[in-house]
Amino acid sequence: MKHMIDVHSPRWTDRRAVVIAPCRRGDIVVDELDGEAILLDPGTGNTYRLNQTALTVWSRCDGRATTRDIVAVLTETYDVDFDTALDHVDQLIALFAEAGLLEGR
Amino acid sequence: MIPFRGCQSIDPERRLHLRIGVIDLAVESDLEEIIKDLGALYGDFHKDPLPAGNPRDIVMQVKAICRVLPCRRRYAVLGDGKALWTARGLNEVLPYVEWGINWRVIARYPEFLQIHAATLARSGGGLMLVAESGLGKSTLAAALFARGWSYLSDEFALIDPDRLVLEPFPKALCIKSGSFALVEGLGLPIRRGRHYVKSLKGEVGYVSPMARGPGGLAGSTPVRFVVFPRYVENAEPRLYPISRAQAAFHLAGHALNRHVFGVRTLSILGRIVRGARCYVLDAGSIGKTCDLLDRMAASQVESLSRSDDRIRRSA
Repeated sequence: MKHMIDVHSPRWTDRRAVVIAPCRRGDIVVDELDGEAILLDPGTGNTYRLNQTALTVWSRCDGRATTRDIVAVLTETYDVDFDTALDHVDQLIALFAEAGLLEGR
Repeated sequence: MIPFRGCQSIDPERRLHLRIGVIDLAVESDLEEIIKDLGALYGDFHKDPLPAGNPRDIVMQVKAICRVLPCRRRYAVLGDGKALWTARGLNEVLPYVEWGINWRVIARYPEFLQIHAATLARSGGGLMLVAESGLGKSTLAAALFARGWSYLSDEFALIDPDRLVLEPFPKALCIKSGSFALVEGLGLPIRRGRHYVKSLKGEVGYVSPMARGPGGLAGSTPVRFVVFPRYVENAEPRLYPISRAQAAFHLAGHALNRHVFGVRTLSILGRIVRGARCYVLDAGSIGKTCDLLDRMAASQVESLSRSDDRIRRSA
């Protein structure tokens, strides 16, 4: 992961949020299908399916957008509150990282 | 050194040259019974051998291993010269040969994307029934075959990655003993004279791909339906549409040689599912399940006719 920093946001008065700018690996092959996507890691041969939300998050993992930026996109796109969206984004990014789909691992 | 009986020269009468769909195959054995069994299932696929041999041929051999006591006789099954299995009885040999053919097809025909599925066709549209072994895929395929669907393959789909069509490889359908009555009740004869035993499945029998004559077989067919059956006891059969991404993901999980195609696998699967409708099938009673799949295929014909009408009107 790039630029991992701890911050306190004014909006998150009771919550310590980790803001990162995750960056997807450039060699991951993606095929978008009706708003969802299949990912293939050429290194391991593993495949992954992303639903619409996960694809939204994945496509914004460009090394520039922070977690907070991605959460903002989700709250604008879907009927979801900030904290719920943050939970989802955190979980997804952790899953991407665990699967080795992000740079810096 | 394993002493083979008569392994130095095989009588031409004990050799079969076959073309099963797109697969070329030669079977050699000094055991008359095995050639007779295979001839009964695949005799209609006989081809004339090339004088110098065909390098495309998968060569299966079955050899008796001599023992002093006949009760201790064993049978070696070889594929392309490699020892694959040793059968303990004559009734195990045919299942092992069938299994060995599948293994060798996977190794020798890497130009096809191979997916663990049974495939059939109706009205020019191909159906993939994608499931692990033991979930009733062959029985369902046999039932659809009996009801007029054209047969393409069992065990695995062979997909031409450029034309995105299912290629025919109409091996005999392997039916477990628990389904004998059902399949025979549908009018398909099962060859089971020798009480064939397949290690995990127990007693099995075989439905010849020619059970409905040459008209029961399909040629290369585009994929129109991708169906993932799961057996639910006493359930009313239902088809649940799934997203194309879900279907592609599951297909990737059932692809036997995706390492051969590497990253290209994804684009091939993506193109397949873009041209298909994709479902999970809760399969209940075989008759009702077949009715449901018949309706699914008919709806394709209706929607194709509607689009033809639209094209005609706009022209």
